[in-house]
Amino acid sequence: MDYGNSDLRRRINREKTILELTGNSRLLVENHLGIQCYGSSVIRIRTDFGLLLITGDEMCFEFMSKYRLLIQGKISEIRVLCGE
Amino acid sequence: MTQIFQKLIFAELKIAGVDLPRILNRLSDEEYRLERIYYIDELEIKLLTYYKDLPKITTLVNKMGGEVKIIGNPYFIDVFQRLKNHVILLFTALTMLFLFAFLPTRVLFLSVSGNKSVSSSEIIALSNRQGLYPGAKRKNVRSEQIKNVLINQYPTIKWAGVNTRGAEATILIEENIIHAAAGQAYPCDIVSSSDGVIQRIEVKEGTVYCREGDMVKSGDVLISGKQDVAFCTLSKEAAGEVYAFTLKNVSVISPKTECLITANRRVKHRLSLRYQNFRIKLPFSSGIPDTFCGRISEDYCLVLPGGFRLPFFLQIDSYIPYIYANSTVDESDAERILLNSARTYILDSMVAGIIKTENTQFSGNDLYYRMDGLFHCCEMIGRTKAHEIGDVYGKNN
Repeated sequence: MDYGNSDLRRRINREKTILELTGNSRLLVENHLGIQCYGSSVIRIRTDFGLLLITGDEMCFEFMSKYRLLIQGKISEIRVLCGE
Repeated sequence: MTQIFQKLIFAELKIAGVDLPRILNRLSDEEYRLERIYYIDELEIKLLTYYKDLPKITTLVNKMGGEVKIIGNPYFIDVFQRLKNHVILLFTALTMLFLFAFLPTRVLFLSVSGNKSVSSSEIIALSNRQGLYPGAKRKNVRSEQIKNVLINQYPTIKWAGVNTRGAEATILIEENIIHAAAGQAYPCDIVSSSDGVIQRIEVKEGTVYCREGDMVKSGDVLISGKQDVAFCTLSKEAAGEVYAFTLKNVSVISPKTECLITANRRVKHRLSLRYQNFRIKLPFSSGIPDTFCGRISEDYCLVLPGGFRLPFFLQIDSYIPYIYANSTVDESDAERILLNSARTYILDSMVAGIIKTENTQFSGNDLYYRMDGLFHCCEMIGRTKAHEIGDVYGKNN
């Protein structure tokens, strides 16, 4: 995973949230707006397009910063709840 | 590798609070490094962060109504915290650390090598006064100063030096008299082949170890190929010739009766047939002759008409029978023969030389004549070695 280019990407995409899923085990969320709810089976992340609901098992944050969030675990579902 | 790195600089925290997502958002906004955030329960999470950020994070979390608990320190802090309970171990480790840092800078042991004429204790005592003593700093040891003092104090010392290795200092001594005292000859030297008094020396290469008129023994170094140059010794093949007056004592014995062999002029022949290694005797004059002296064997291959060669050979042995007779040797003849034998022996035993004077004593009994002689010679007792291919240090293998 290349974290070095993500700042550049963020600028190009004008703060748009980017999701990058690797298999069903890693999910990189860039330009997020913060966590709303955190658990090992459910994670809610605020984004510019709404709320991102990630469901899975044994999930954890491998890395967390102001702009990037790397989720690791068995991801089973990703839902976007617009307008929430 | 990453895990080892994390162990060294990361601390493991447990954060407890009511609104954990808010705390995490705040920490990430402040740009603290947060890794491996594990969910424990609704009120607790576990994460890794830099050890240096720990106080700030603790303050921030406490302000937000949370609580921080350190559950894992960096590796080296863990080690020190564990060692606090083992005072003896900690003391030993610190002592060892101190010794490892201290010992290489000090000289603890002194030794002397290469000295023959001057005792080690004298050299060490003199070196102690020059600052080389057990416990002295290695950087304060002045090899040149010690060398000068030793050379001035003991004329037999040609060169000295101090070699420090670890906590041991070795005083290396090179003496002038080692070569002569030990009488050790090197392959490059010219050594005396016999006892005598030096008459003449011709040197082309090397250092002369003797003068005209000196008495030398067999094996003494006459011309050395070793040459001392400041701190080292050069070896070069010595070249030259040394002549000396030598004294040789020879005893020669000859029997009183001698066996005279007279040749019978009549040549005899023996014939036999030979097939490979088998000999077939013929009816007349066949067989092997009695004598081996003056025997001539000739083989003739048997060839059938037409050039067909048979595997048989006709062997013809021709020989001259001798007549053996005993006779008594004359006293005057015996003396002459013995003197010649003694002279021949002496001249043959020399590399080059002449017999100057001789003093002989002739005697005899019923069985033999005896001559005891004392010969004064002038001979070459040392010369440039002529090496051959395959020589190892002048000795032929």
